[in-house]
Amino acid sequence: MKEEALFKLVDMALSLVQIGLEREVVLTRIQELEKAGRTAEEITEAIKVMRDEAIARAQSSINSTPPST
Amino acid sequence: MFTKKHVGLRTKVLLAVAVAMMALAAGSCGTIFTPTRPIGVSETLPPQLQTAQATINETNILLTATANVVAQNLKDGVYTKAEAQSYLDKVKSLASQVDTAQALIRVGDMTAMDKTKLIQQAVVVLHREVAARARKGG
Repeated sequence: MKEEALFKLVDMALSLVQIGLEREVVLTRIQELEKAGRTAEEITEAIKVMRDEAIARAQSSINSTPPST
Repeated sequence: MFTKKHVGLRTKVLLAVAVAMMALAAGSCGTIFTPTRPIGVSETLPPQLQTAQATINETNILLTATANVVAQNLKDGVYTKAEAQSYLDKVKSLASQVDTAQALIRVGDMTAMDKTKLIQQAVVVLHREVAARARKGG
């Protein structure tokens, strides 16, 4: 039981860190846009596009996963 | 991520403590859930709408990160297909609400601020749900 709780703790902590790391990846892309001299409006639109692409990729992964998993 | 076969109990204890401390430290100092600076905000907007725009952009960044983590956790076997779909449906719903708030900003509607605050709170709750869902039978 202790071992199971530890595994869960590790997974939960890693998921939190994972979200933080994914956020940093997006921020890096935005910094590149800022350095390229994009306007605030263009950056706002680019962020929305990144979000929609991430959702589409996730949906595609789900669709291609067998129902039993 | 980790299997019982590959990691000894002592290592797991140390790893769990280290990772938990990292996550708590990162969360408490605001690097995961709190914007560090306004991103993509036009100075031509009224101050209240600048705050709303910053919140919208940060929320979209967090939704992007969440969608990526949902896909990765499905791939790693942390989520079942149904669970991943459930979380992604929540991401889609929040994205739709963000787009509504963005439309309010475009027309200069000051109620956008209240709406974006509520959406951001919902995203933080979703993040905690996503993170709290540990591997089955771990």
